[in-house]
Amino acid sequence: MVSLRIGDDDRISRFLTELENQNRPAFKQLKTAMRIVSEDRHYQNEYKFKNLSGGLYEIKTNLGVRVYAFLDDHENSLQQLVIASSGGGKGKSQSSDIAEARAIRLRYLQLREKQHVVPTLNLLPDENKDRKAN
Amino acid sequence: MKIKIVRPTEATPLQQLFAAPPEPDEEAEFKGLMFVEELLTLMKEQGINRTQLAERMGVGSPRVTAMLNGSSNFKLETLIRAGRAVGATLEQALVPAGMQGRWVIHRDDEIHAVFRAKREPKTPAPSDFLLETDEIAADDNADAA
Repeated sequence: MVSLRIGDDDRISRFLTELENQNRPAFKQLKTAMRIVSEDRHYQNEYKFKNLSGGLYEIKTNLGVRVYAFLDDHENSLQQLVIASSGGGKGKSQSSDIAEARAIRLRYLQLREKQHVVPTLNLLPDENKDRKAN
Repeated sequence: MKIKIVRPTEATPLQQLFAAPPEPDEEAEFKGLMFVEELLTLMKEQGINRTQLAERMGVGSPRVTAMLNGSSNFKLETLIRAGRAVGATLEQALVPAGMQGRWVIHRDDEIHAVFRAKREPKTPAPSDFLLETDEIAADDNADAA
């Protein structure tokens, strides 16, 4: 599992860091849900990990906070689950959060096809220490 | 096109957050959700939906929903009921620090006889104080006297 940064836009890292400072219970729930998906690769529980179709997945908590991810299964990739954006914030609707996540995914896929612009994938620590490339 | 994978030599603040050992309440939620994953897998294999699970557990559907979405603190009894509802038993182990535990779920016939746990019937050892019938009668008469 990796978090996505495109250029200077590292919204998910910023979101998670702010969440830990402002709403620690929600951060802990989200961290736990992400851990289940990334470490143990369990996806049966749709209350925590939901396939939104169109290649987008939602990792969510009981406190309304969620992140959106997509699978990068490109032949040259490491088969990563890319955490793209967050949701559940105040003043935002879920439909707009999902639309934003889909747009980020599309942009990532488009950038991947270009030679001179590369998005950056930040490995989350559990994978960083034991990472084995495919 | 190659994707740039960042492997920083020093952990970023975000990575430090995720690397921190889970607190007990986090670990409890993690274990609970892992149990739910296993339960859902067995339900899927057996074609059991949530309503049927609730019936088998003898609880209302809202209880099952709360269990599956992690909004309830599990009682051991609930876990055992859920396991039995899908034909499974709950096992547990405490693993000392510095060691790891691994579960292998198997049938008896999948393990070579050499490695199977020995289950010999227990027979009581003869007691030094076991009295024969005649001695019991003599002893009773002595007590009566």
